[in-house]
Amino acid sequence: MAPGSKIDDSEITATNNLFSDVVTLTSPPLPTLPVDVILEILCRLPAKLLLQLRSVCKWWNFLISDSKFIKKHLRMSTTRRRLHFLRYLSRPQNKYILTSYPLDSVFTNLNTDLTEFEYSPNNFKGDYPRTTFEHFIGSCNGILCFADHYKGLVILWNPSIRKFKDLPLFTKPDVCIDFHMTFGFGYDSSTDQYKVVVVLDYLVPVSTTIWVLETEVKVHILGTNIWRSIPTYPFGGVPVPSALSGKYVSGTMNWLVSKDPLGWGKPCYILSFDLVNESYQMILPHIDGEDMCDLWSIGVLRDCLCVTSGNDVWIMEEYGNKESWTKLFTVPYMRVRDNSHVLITPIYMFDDDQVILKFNSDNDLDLALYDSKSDTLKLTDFHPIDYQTIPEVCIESLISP
Amino acid sequence: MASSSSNLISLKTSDGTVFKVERALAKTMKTVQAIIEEADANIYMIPIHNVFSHHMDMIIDYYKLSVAGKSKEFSVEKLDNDELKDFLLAVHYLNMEDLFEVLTQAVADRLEKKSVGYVRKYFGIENDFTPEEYAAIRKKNDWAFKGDDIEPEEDEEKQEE
Repeated sequence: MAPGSKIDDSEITATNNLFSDVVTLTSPPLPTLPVDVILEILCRLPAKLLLQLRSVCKWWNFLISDSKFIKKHLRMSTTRRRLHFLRYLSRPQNKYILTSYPLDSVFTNLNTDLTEFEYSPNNFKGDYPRTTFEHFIGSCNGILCFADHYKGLVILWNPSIRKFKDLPLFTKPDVCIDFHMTFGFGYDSSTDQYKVVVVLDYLVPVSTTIWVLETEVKVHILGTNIWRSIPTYPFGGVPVPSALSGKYVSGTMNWLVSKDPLGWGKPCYILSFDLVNESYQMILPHIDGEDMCDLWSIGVLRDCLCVTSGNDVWIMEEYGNKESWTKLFTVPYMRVRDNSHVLITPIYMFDDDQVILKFNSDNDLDLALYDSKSDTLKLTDFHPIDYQTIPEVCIESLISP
Repeated sequence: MASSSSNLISLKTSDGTVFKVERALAKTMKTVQAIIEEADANIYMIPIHNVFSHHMDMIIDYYKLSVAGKSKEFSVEKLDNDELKDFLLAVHYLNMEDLFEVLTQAVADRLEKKSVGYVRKYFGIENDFTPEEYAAIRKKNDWAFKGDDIEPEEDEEKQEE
C-alpha cells in the first residue's frame, strides 16, 4: 500500500481506539453465548418482548425479523394461546371490537387481563346494515381472519404484533337471490402461502318462475391482489349456514355441506378442499361400519377434524383415513330454556382433556367446560359481554398478515 | 467400536475430577458419544473440556430425576444468572438435547418480564444503533414498550460506558 493520507488516517483511528474505553463492536457483535444458544432462548420468549428486543442491537433486529426465526418461534408458542371474541358496532361507530382473554379465563372466570382493539377497515363507508353478521373465519399460525356477511370484506389480524390487513373485495354475482358466502382461511406449506377461500352459493333465474342453485369457489393468496375463480365442488349441496367458516386441518379446508337446497337439512357431508393441489374430496365420518350423515357441526380439536352429531363428538385422528374416526365423548344432556335442540360447537381441548364448548341456543353465547374424565359439564361464569360469535382460540406468532 | 468391560464411562472434567457415569447417561451426551464411537480402541477416560465438576453434579441430578420420571422436579432456581449461563454452555458443549431445552427454557423464563436494558446486559451486547435509529425502531412498535407487565427501563446507558 502506498504511503499517504490513507495510512495516516488509519493510524490516527487506531490510536484513538487505544485511548478510548469503548469497545466498538462490528456486527455481528461477540456475545457471551453462541448464536444457536441465543436463538434457542429467544424463540421461547413472548412476541411482545421480542418486538422490544429488536432494539437491542442491529444484529438482533435482523435475527428477530428473519422468517426462519419467526417460524421457529411459532413452533414454540403453543403454550401461549388466547381466546378471541369479535363484535361489530354499527352506526355511528362502524367499527369492529376485538377482545381477547387468556385461555384459562374459562376456569378462573376473570375478566381481567383482557386486551381490546378497535378497527375500522378502509373500505368502511358507514353503509353496513345493522343486521350484518360478523364472525371469525378461523385462525392459522397466529393470524385471525374475520369477514362480514354483507360486503364480504375479509380482514386478517395478528394480535401478537398488532397488525391488520384488509383483503381486496371479490366480485359478487349479478342477478341472484339468496346469496351466501362461506369462507375458509389456511396455510399452504408447499408454497409457504396463506390462502383465503370463499364458497358462494345463490339462486339464479332460468325463467320467470324457475330458479337454479349455483355455487362458485374463489381463492385468494395473501400478498396478491386477486381472487381467482376455480372449478366448484362436484358433489352438490350448499354449505350449512350455521357453520359459516371452513375449518383448517393440516393443509385442508373443510366445510359442512347439506344436500338440502336450503342448507339446513340432512343428509350432510364434509367438503374437504386440499390447499396444496386445490382438489376436492367428500368426507363422511365412518362409524360402526356406516357413513354418518346426520352431522350438526364441524370443528377442530387437537389439530384434528371433529364433528358433532347430536350430543356426540367424533374425531378423525388421521386426516383422510376413514377408519380413524373415534368417538371423543358424549356431552351430557343439558337443560336449556326452551328445550330446543342445542347445537354444540367444540372450541378447544386442553392437555388434561377438558374441552371448551359453545352452546348455541337463542343467540346467547354460553361457554361450558366439559371434563371427559369425570364426565361433568359446567357452564362457566365467564360472561364478559353478550358476544354472538363463536370465539376463536389463537396462538402467538410474529407473522405479518 | 469401543467397548468397555464395565458399564461405566469415565469422564474427566476441566478441574481434574473424574466421574464414573453409567453408559446410558453418557449416551445422552452426543459429544461424548461421538468420541466413543470414533475411537478405534477402548477409551480409558474421556476429557470433557468446558465442563466443571459442579456442572457434572447437576447433570447427574437431572439424569437421576429423569430416569425416575421426575424430570419436572429439576430446578436451577438456586443458580444466579451467570451460573445458569455457564451451566447452559457446558450442556451445550456436551450436546445434551433434553437438558439443553430445560435450561434454555429456564433462561427464557427469567427474561420474560424483563426490560430491553436488562436483556442487553444479560447477553453482554452493546447497543450499536445511533440515537435516531434507536428512536425509530422503538417508535415502530411503540405499544410493545408500554404496559403493566413491563419492568421500567433502567437508566439508558449511552453507548460509551
